Amino acid sequence: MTETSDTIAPRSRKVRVLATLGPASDTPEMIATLFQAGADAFRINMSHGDQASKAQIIRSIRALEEKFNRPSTILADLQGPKLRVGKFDGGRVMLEHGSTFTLDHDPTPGDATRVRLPHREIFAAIEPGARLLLDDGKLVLRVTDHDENRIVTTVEIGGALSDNKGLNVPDVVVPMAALTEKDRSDLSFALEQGVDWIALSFVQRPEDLAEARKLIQGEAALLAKIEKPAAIERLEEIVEMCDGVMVARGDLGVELPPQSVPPLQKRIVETARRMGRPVVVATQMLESMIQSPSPTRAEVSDVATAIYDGADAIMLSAESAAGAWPVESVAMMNAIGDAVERDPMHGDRIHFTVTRPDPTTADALAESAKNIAATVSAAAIICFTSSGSTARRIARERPSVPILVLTPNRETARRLGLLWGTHNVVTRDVESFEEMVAKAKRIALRQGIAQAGDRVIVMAGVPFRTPGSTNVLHVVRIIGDELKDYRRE
Amino acid sequence: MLREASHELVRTELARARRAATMVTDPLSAGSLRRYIGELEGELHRRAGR
Repeated sequence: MTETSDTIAPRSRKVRVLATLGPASDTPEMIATLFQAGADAFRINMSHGDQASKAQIIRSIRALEEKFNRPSTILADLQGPKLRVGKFDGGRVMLEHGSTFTLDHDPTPGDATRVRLPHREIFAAIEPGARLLLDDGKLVLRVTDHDENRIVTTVEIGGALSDNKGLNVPDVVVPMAALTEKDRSDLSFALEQGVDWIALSFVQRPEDLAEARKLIQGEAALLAKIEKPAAIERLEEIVEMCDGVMVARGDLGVELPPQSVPPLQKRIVETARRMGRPVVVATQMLESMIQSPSPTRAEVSDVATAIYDGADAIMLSAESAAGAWPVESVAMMNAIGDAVERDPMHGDRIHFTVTRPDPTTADALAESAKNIAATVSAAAIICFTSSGSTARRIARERPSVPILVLTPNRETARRLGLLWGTHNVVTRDVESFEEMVAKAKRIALRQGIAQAGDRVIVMAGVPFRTPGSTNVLHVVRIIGDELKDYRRE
Repeated sequence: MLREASHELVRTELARARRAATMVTDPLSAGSLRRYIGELEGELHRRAGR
């Protein structure tokens, strides 16, 4: 997958589209179609399906690299310690408003008065007055009494409740292990398969991420899903311990009033951007497209808002995984991204978030590159990077021009697929300053990111092949021999 | 822990964990991060002594 020739033009938009794969979209043909429609990265939800079918999906995604000569990006989303009630006699009961309902350890099927709750940690952590939310918050129970064997509640909002429905406990921190046995098995599988990102669900504390990092051993980047109120209270600690963040609005909107989600979304995006971590906005972005070929105007506005906030990526869940219109959903995300980024106000709006550089040479150069690109009307910023750190620093500045990332590491190129504004190319390392400049010009021409006569900004570290040494910023005009031989490797 | 990871990665992880530790106020989290930092420092010492 070294850089050779174009088979698909670089995306003109800078926000990335992350598409979840599922029964509606997991064939090789459909994955290729989604990629062509605008999907930059693919999410595999480990909550559903078996590992053998996931391995086939991963192979299909990697096949895109040969087909389109572009690194592919795969995120494996671990289920996490999702709380669920047990089963009911007949599969379903009706809970009446004001009635008493008990959760216990009894494995026999439940009824309208009780059900098993197979999570002992909750019995110890719960407090009288706390709420228990069932089935994405459709039913609400209030705790009146509890001991180590039962939790007695009053039904505040009743309704139908069926087997294994989800449970949320928003008012107390439940000391759950960050990784269940299933998660550990799925994590091991995902790392064996060489996925690029691992998403950790229901993160509550920084040590949840430390535990995952020990297991991952640098084999993949780690994304923290922010979906618990406890995580909001400790946001900076959590962001520091991860490589990226997801605003998982589904469970967040269950545990918190829905009107509190938009300000929290802005806060999470702002914090992640300020701390230099890519941030994904997720859940129900084009929800109506699960059934309909076109979105509601409100959904389009929601996606646009995330782009104006400067999110690195916007995500499709059931729309692309299980809906009737997966390709149209991706194409709509693509179209919204293009339209918003063409808005002359877009650049001003994404810079509402101030990303003050850290006191390092690399950060100072990244900030300077953004400013120089605007001042001299450069066509692109081109960076040589081994770990991807320089690319992340430049992307954090949200420059007005494309960022062409040249890396000898395929894994780095793949991980950067979630990063705002980058076009990532795997190429051999350079040995000298002259080779660096010539290669930057050739690949920019070949990828169609710059034309003859354009100025580009080249960033690298000298001595070459030394990670963390970014110390060179060079402004160069695309003229010379490279114009004749740029199509050759 | 991190025995298979590169030296650069262990150093980066240590720096990250130390930064996070300065932000933490919860004593349980602080203890957990201190243990993580200790493990990373131990790994670096182990490599230095090889």
